[in-house]
Amino acid sequence: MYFIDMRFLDNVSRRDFVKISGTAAISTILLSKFPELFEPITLDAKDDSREYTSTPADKKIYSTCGMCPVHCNIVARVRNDRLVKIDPDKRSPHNMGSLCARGQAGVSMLYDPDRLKNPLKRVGERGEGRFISISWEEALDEIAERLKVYVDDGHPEHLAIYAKPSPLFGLLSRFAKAYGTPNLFMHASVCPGTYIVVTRWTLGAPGFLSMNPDFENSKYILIMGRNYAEGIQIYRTKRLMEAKSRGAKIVVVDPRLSNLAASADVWIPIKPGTDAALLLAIMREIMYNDRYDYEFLSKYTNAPVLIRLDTGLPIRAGEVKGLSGEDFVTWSVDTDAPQALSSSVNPQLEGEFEIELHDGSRVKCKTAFTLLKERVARYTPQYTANICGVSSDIISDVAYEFSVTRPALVDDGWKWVNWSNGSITLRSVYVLNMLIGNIDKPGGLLYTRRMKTGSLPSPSKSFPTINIKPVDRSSDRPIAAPMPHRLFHNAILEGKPYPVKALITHYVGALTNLPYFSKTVKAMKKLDLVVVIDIYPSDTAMYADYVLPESTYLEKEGLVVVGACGEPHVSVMQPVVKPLYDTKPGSYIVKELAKRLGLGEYFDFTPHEVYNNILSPVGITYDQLKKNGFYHITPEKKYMEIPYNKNPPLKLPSGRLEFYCTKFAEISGSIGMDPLDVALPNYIPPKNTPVAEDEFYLLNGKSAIHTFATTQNNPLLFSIFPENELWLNNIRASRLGIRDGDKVIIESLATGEKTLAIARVTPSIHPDAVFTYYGFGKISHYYSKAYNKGFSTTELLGVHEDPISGGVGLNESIVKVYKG
Amino acid sequence: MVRYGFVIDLTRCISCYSCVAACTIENLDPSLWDDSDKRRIRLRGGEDGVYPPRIEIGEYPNVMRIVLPMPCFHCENPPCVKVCPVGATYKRDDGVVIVEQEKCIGCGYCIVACPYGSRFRNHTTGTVDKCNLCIHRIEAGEEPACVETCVGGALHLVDFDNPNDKYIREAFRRRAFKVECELGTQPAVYYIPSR
Repeated sequence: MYFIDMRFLDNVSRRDFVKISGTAAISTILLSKFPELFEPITLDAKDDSREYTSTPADKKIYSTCGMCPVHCNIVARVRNDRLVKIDPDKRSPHNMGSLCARGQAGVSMLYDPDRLKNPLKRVGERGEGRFISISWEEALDEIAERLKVYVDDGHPEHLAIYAKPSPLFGLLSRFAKAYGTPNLFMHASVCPGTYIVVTRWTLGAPGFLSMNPDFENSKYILIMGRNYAEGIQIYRTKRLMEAKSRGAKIVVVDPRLSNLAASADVWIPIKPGTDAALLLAIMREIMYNDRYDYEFLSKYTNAPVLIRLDTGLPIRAGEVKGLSGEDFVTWSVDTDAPQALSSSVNPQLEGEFEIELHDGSRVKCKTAFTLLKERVARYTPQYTANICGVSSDIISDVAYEFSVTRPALVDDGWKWVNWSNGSITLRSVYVLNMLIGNIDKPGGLLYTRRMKTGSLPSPSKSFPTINIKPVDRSSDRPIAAPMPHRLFHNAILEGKPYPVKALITHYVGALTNLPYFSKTVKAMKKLDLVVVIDIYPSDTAMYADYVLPESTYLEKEGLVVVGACGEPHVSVMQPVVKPLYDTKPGSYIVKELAKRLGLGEYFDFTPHEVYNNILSPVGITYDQLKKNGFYHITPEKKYMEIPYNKNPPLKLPSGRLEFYCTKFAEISGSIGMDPLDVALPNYIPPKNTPVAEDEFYLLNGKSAIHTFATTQNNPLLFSIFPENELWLNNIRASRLGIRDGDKVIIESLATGEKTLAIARVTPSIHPDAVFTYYGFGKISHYYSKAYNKGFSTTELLGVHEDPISGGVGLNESIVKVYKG
Repeated sequence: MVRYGFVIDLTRCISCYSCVAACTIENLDPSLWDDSDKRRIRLRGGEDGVYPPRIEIGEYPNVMRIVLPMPCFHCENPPCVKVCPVGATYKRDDGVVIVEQEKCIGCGYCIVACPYGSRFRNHTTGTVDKCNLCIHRIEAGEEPACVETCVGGALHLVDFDNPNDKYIREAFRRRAFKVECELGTQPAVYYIPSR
């Protein structure tokens, strides 16, 4: 075995210095770790001590992971009715033979003694967490009786449902429709709301993860703030690492050295909230050096559309002399005259034109492309460097490399655009991708191919008409995604626009995912009825009147139409063990409540009927799916579909990809903004900036170990990551007299709340920002491990709504940090 | 003949701890799951076992973070084997260093002798516990739990007696290193440096 001895330390060159100091540092740590010598020895070695190790004789059951919404394919190994291990399904093209720590720890969650074991009813005050156990019959009867009141009063809209996106969402949505309330919410505004709105109105792509970066073929991958190493979606993370091994250059733009940034080729520690400026600088490099894709822009986008300079809106054919209709207008190179966009041949991409209107007057117009080109002119590397707090060399290098490397792509994402300027910033990502013409091309940004599935069987009875809008809809947010923060802070708390009195939540933590914790708590206390469906006695459950324990994904049956895979994929969820406790699947809870409310006809189907209905357009049955575990379709055409041969799934105003976002321009008046500011990529500085020596942006993000705020008490995951700290730049910290491991007080300027934290003083974060992983600081004392470990961010975060998407600026709150 | 070992590509390790989680569920009694000291594989990168890794080199903005997934190194010259008074721990022909549970008296000499901290006392068995390369899985035609689940594709089980092994060749080409600690242990785990 000596033949492989590399004598690594023998040939020391200057370039290797970092490597060696790294290895030396590790050796020091290894040697400083002393084994525990004098621990008592227990000699009662169990005979069955090897029973937990998996063996070939284990029963193997195909199922789907439910630890996070990515839904990977798993093989559960069961022996003697006990789940011993969860393995990744090696055959699955979705998770490609891997599972993350959370997926592996599913076993640990199943057998966690802190799980909810039976239905609970509150006996103390809300928030006190005093409950008695009751039977399912009692719980469901009592809840139904109290829910009936709102229907009898003619105000079913007083009930709101707040649920996570899960396979149950379809049934909950049917329940809401049957009950007569429009108030069904998912967590859009605190998560992918901005993404959903921007992709919808820019690319016509529906829902989240509707775009899929083709890492496999890309040579230059620019990742803005997204963190595939900690917000793991194996489908993408694995492909990205493959790309890296293949030699693709990976550049990560993030104020913090995330684990992804740490393994990337380049880390650009950008000043928080200024990402759009960097994107504009890259656009400048491309546009002024003619490195854009003329054919793509003029054929498939509305870049050549003429925009009136007086209104900032696109001129319509009906306004122009000699043309008619609602169509947009371009300037033809051949005839040197305006032409309608739909019949547009050889349009001018650049230029200023005078257009004669029907009444003979003339207006000045420029193409959308020209308007953007003029806007980006000033984003020179030097100018951008001052905004982004990055050296101008790095900016000109990245801009140059990106503009000359093909295929290249800018990755999208949503957590990093949780800013009040988020929609416009994210749009800049897509427009930059359009400029190099990489949409749906190998190595570019692809449209996610989804499985065409059926729906729930239609009921024999028609649904009641709902004449009222959901509580979050208002004229100042005409195209916003669902805004659950408005449900709590406006409707429940203040009765605006109308009161909500009862709440059902499903596996989502209102207290752990919404900003402004103190307001959310007040809202929870004000409600007449709170029903929480969960698997753990969570923080939100502490404010419930009834807590209904749901079976975990390992104890119930289901069908998952996987949205996080780039290709059409459905998979089966099978019970691998019998329910450990008196828990029920969510579908049972919804159906039984409906029955008791006299809404049984809307749920007159068996689970298998539903599954087969959903699967019928796919052409397989549920039993077939069960046998194989999943069904995956490799699309015949992976590339060059949209917009080349097919229209985008959702209709866009111009019928083409929206280089200039017509919808944003149209609604700009109602949100009080200028059309050109919102319709074209733009850098709008964040409203709040840290000023004083002890002020910082509070950034927050995901870790690879926990899913949102749901897994902190999982024994195995807890042992890996028990509590969060506050990351603080070492230079700023030394000025404040804070050392690593010190207790610090974080005071929010947004909410006025204070919280105690442990400081992690590190060089790997931008001086203007502090960072923490979210989901910690549990207030539920039923969590025997996670209770009161670390600190929660929701107390510190203000709302900072994005006026376009309604998204919450979760990274925009300013905090003061001082020694505690 | 086979001689098992690992090639670990640090360019592809994303510090996700899935190896640690998979190994723990696969090999340890549930009563040990919540104890970060009892691990057969660790992600060395600062405080043992605790996320996130924290060895950082350099000054802002030129910072590098270092992590090292560490299973047992299954050394060619294992110091742990020499100190065992009852012959419970030995190196098998296929290169795997194991503890024979029936023979181990739990004296803990080997825990001290191992320079890498790869061994620990398992209170449920009263014996010393360590990575056994999931030989039960290898024998059943599967990969070790950590290798199977690795999200970044960094961990590879290799056979050093197979000169055509893809990952051994890769290790050659990319100047892999071992953590020798100048002790002459000759680990069977090779790391491809992160840059």
